[in-house]
Amino acid sequence: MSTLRTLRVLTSTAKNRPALPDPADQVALYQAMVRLRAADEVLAAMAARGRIQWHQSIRGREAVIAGLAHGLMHDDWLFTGAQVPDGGGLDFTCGRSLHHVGTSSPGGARVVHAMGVGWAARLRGDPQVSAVLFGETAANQDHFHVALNFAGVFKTAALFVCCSDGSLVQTSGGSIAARAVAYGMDGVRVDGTDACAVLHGIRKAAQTAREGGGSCLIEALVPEEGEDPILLLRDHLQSADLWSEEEETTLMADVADSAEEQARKATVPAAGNKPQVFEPTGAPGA
Amino acid sequence: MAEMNIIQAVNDAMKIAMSADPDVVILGEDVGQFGGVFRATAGLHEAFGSDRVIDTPLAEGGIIGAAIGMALYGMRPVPEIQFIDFIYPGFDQIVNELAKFRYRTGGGFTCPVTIRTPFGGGIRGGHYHSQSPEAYFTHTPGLKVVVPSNPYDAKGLLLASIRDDDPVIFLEPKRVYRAARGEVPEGEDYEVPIGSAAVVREGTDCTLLSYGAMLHTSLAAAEVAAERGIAVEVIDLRTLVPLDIKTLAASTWKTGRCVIAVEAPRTCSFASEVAALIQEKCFLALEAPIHRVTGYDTPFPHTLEDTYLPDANRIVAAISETMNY
Repeated sequence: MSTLRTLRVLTSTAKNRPALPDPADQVALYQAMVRLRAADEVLAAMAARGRIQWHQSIRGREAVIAGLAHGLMHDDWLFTGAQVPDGGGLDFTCGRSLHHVGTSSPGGARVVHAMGVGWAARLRGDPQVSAVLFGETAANQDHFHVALNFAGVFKTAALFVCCSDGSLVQTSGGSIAARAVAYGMDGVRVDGTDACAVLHGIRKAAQTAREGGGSCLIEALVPEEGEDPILLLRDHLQSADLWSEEEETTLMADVADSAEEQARKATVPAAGNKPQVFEPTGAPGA
Repeated sequence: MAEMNIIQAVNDAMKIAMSADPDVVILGEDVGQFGGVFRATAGLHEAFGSDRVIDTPLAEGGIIGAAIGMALYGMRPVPEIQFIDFIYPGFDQIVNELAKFRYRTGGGFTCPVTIRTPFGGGIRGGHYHSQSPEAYFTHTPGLKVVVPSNPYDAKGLLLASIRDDDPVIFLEPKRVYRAARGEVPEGEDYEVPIGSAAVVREGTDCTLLSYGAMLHTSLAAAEVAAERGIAVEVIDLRTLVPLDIKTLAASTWKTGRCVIAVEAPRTCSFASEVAALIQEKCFLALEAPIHRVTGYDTPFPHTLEDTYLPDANRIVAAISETMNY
């Protein structure tokens, strides 16, 4: 079994724990998580009522998404699971100016695409990094192996972020992050309920990748019955005097307003017409 | 003008594309320092360096998946799959990802990837080096499928493919890689448009449709038929998707008879699709059933290659049957 320790910030009392990010970052992470949860709840409710076809809830994983989006910089790339094009789904970028590719549904394939983007950035000498978020089941796919092997060989600027509940029922080895050694890259396990830990892990890996140091495999642990990432950070912010009741009230009111907007955006569009079916495929039509 | 074979023409096309556009990169197995097993990329590594002519691990899913990422980023990758028989580990990336990126992102991302790969038999390579699985790709909406049969077209079609904003499967007829020679403007930048067939021999009695290496067998068959007084019109499809059905139909309206010759196994081969289309477009013109001359519904054989591959005799027999219906 792996001897990798799990990186924690908020829940750690260890002396060598990473420093907290700036107060502004902490607040931004909190706001992002609250917005993600509100949007997730709206989409889940709409799916339950048949107003949209499908929604895969991210409940409990808000810290991973917020920490990842905030750990990247302007113009970086982010690959996530299937979302409705045209902004009907969750905003995985948390409002940040990232190139988001969120339409590849089968778990493993996009891991290779993200590696390709990180490789292209290296070839061009650009500072961009590319990150991909996937579940532990995708780590069982041949795509995962192929992508990480290429990433190790070519030192691509790609971050592989695996969100795992830690049970790894169908995954050998006890840890996804431990596999990094075999691919010649860093492997990091972070507490996926601790947004500050995720942010720290992503920022460090992104900086290494940006400087030409290659890829990183990050395993974000989100246990089924784990801490609520939002409450965890809110408790910290309040005890550190970084977040007032008044600010909480204002945020909640704003979130309620944007929930309605989210719902409207996500509503199933009117049935398409024939040209819409053929135009984006280049197909000759019928 | 210089006389070239298909390999040299392909090489010249890539040299021109890479010189004109720094976003064009080549990646694949042994394409770099070694210059490709068929020498198609010979000299390019020396000319453009290891960041643009890249030797990859032996993992076709990685080669194509990486090319997709590079294309999303703004490059124009030209991955080589050493033999099309090795393409299957990359099949998910081609069919589920590459072909659908533009559609699935509502036009947000295009994937200008040209996958070059030799196909077909004729080198005694057994079934890992001889298959003609083009129908898998013609059956996948979102892909263009291009098949040159001669050096001039190979160069012009490859340049057009690399510059196309959508993915292209570029099938190179390995049996005639070196045997098919012809005049090619060396170093000159020209394109042969995707989606246009070519009438390569005019005739009035029977239309004969083919592509790739089988086009040459078809021309030989037309010669034999001519000796027997049958004027065969031979058309090189050049592009399978999008198909220039107008040219094929116009010829069939003229001759009233149609034979299609391909190497692939018979069932659901691209010949079947062409036959269906000709039947739809030319029903009232047809004097006889459309004939398909194909490989057999068996794995590609190692020792019985000559039995498996359609030859001029089989095509002539089909023409005769069509004429005598």
